[in-house]
Amino acid sequence: MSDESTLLDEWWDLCANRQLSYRRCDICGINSYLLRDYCPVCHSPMRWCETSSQGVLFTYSVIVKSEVTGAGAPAPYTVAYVETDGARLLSNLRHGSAMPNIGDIVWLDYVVSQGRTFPIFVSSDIRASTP
Amino acid sequence: MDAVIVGAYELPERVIPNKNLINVFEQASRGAIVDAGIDVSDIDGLFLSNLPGLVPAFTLAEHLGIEPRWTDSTRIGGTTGLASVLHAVAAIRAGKCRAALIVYGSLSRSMRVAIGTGGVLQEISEERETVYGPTVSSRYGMFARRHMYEFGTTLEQLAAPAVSAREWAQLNETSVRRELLTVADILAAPRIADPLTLPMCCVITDGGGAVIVAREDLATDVARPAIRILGAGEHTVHRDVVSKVPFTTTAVKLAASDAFKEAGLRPDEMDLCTVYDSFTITVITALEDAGFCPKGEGGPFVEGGRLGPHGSLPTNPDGGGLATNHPGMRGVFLIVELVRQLRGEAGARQVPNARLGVAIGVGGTIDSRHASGVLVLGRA
Repeated sequence: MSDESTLLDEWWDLCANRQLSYRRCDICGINSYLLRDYCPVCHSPMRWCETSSQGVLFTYSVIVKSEVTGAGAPAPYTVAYVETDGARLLSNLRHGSAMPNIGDIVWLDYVVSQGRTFPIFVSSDIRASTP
Repeated sequence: MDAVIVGAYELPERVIPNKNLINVFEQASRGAIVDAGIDVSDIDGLFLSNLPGLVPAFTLAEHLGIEPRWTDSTRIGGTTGLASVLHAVAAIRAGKCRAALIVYGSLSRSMRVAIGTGGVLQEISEERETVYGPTVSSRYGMFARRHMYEFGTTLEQLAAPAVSAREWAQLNETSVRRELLTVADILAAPRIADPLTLPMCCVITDGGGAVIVAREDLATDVARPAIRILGAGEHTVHRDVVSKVPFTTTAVKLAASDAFKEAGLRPDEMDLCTVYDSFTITVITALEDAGFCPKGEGGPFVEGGRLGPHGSLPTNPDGGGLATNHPGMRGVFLIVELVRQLRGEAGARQVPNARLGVAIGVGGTIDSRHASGVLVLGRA
């Protein structure tokens, strides 16, 4: 990381390297996806830590109508909160025609759109059908 | 010296194609001043949130021709108007101002601002979130799905507040969605952000409104009966790992607890309620968190027309944001309608013998960072 890069720059660099990461406090053990410099509990500096390859689906919504895109994809797309490593992350979920269930195991993946790499999650059936 | 509400006004228009935003603020301010029967020169506190620009208070103060001793441009989303009443009461009790004008205006419909069903609120999200396209409706959709998972809330229950809103709208000529709907109609309507269908989402309108909070001794010769501010509470929460508020509980819980405690009253003593109805799930959750029913039982609570014109908890008699008026930040209208009801001047939709009521605000998005302001009001 260069000295000039902000935490947000570093976030996108990590995503481009397919190393989705969260912020970790080694003193408190708090993990968080907020791009913060300091631990909100003990104020120690936080560091990047790479996310596990799987998470648990906390909740989701299939967006039928939207004026924006989800990681480059137009509606319909699915937004979801996924829990990994004791933290909760807003992301997109790619799934088959069957509706996912809260509590499902979901898998970290990456999509590239317009030169940017977005970490997303995929359901087990999509993962199984991907070579 | 205590503070009371002496003026309340809502623009009747729902589409305002011929005004600049500052003039909507001006019209709303004038309406409340006339309603209160005070002089514009009596206003020495100015509370406004959403005029654009670095210092929004300057612009409106100049338009009104006042030089206030107290300004406040709190920005906590749709609940700002309710929080502003609390802030104005504090300023008046501190002896720093005598009459506070709280004013709001928006041209969301005419300017096609992406609120409600279609857009992403950039202001309340970080870039690492907005790239995933979390529309406002999808954020409430995600919250609704989690509420269904944890408490067994059903789609039929998610439809119920919209059924009641349409029944109320029949009694309000300024409502924009007046046709009656059944639960089945609502479930068959187009999905916007699963599990929410279109009638479960608020309308998008232009609009404006204002409230005047004044020192009690200024209220002796005003035009209308003064409305007492019996209790007020405010809380801001988030969903990060250190949050003490569980995901399906909102900032309403502490704000309402503070407000009812100050008032020395319980939810079941309220004659009516105005509650932020950006989406039907907002109503269900806010009523739970305000203590009208145990946590998780908001779904059954809103069924059977309880919130409608013939129900035991008349809620949003003006039709609310679901049927009548939602320009983006509805908080001030929750106060205006409650004041109209407590004064007994609500016409066809008047709740009989309305003496006590609560206004429950929610600002931001309840799946993430958000705030609540709650006011318990009473007829003197």
